[in-house]
Amino acid sequence: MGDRRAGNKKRRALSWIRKAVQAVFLSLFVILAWSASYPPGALNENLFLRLDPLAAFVAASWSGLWVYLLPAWLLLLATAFSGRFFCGWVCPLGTVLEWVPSRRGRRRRRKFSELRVVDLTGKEIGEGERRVRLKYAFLVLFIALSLAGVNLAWAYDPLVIANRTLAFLFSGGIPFLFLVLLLLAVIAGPRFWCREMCPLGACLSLTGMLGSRLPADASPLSLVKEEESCIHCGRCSLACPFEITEVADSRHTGRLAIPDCALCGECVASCPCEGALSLRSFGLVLSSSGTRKGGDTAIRDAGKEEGNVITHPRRMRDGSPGSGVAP
Amino acid sequence: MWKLRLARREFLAWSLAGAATAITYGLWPRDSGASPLLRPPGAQDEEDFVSRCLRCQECVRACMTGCLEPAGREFGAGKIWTPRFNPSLAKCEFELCGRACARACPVGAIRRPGDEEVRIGTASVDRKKCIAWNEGKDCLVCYERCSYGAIEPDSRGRPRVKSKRCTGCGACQNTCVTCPDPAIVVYPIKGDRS
Repeated sequence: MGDRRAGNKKRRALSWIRKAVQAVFLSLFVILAWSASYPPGALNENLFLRLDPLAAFVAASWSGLWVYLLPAWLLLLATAFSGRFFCGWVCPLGTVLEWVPSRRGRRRRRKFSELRVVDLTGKEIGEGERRVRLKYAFLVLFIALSLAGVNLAWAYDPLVIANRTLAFLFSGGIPFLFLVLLLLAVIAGPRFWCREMCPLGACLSLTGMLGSRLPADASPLSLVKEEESCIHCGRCSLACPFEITEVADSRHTGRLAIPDCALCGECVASCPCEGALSLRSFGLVLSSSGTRKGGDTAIRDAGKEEGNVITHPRRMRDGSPGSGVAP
Repeated sequence: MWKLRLARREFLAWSLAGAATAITYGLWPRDSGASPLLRPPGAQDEEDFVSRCLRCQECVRACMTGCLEPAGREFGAGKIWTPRFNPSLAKCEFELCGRACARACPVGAIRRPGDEEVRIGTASVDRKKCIAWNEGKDCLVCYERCSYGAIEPDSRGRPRVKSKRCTGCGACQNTCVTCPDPAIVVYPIKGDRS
């Protein structure tokens, strides 16, 4: 038992490191927003807004587009190579929403079999009829309206909402949109906005898919699965802030380029099987899962004791064996 | 592969949400003309400006004098939280601040033309409110505050605006003593701002 606890501790370290990184970026965001008051300093006070590809799209046809908004293009480039890491590690709004105590936040109590994919009216959606997430519709609408000269970034864009929230808080105003998002997080789960609605998330998801064929060795940050070590217990999906079921379902060995995956590594930290999941940078293992050998029945029994784990390989909801998700 | 699946219930829910949004947007009170909507110096033409502005409040935060504020809903839902230059808060010191608002704008909705090109608006005296015009008092504070020589007293000591010299900096409106509303107010220039 001692070994196992030590292993857990080590794996939890990744969670804490990520929380620390998130806290650093959130603090930076607050500091930059605070120092945006006169006089302009040496800092780039609007750095986060210039990181935003959607804001860059709004600024299209401006002569400063390429030089001034370079951070946005760099973010898109980095995302193409490693997926939606921005959402899991950097985005200040995502950080705040993730830390909101939520009605649906007590993941440890839930069982994987209870993890439901629901549409916005709360109706359950079967695995075979996966819905196009609303955020892609938002993104299409956003781009179409941008081309027509109507700007919706001010209402939808997470970084803009976060920036305005701080500005309003500093000046004694009420940040309505932020309060709506907080309420949404409390009701529908911490990352509901990011998963289902965020247009920037949709943009980064799609950009991440451009490089989905990239092997883990060429990716700055990647989630890698070893199918042989996986016992399909489903803990990864339970731990996932984005409630991604593909990690547990996948029969794929190698880099898992899942559109919604924010590379947060919660799945790695929760995985009991040695080497089944790992977070890597250019092939270098940053964090690897578990201490148990794959196929070890002890882990299944242990899981059974905790009442948290399905003791057989997970099947799809229609009863057919789960199929691998395309890398 | 991804399939679009929209249940009838969901479709209805979204249609209703969309209709509610459209109705709110349409019925929202528009600019009544009571208080003019001025933009920061160097702002693009109104249509271009609104279609770019992120309402991120960077310019409002960056302003040296605190003359900017987020526009309220009285200017229509489409312009809510866009930066509004309100001379009653403070005058615009565009020649001193190094165009902090233009520097702060992340999308180029406010840019930085030369100081001599800046025309935020034009001041106009309401002769019914102005105590020099209406009550024959010896008041020329607006004339005294104007840095551009855009206000000149006429032979009877009443202020007149030379609109060609006026930059719309708002010093006159900011300093006007009439209560509750200033008698000299800066109005936006229709059409091209630069």
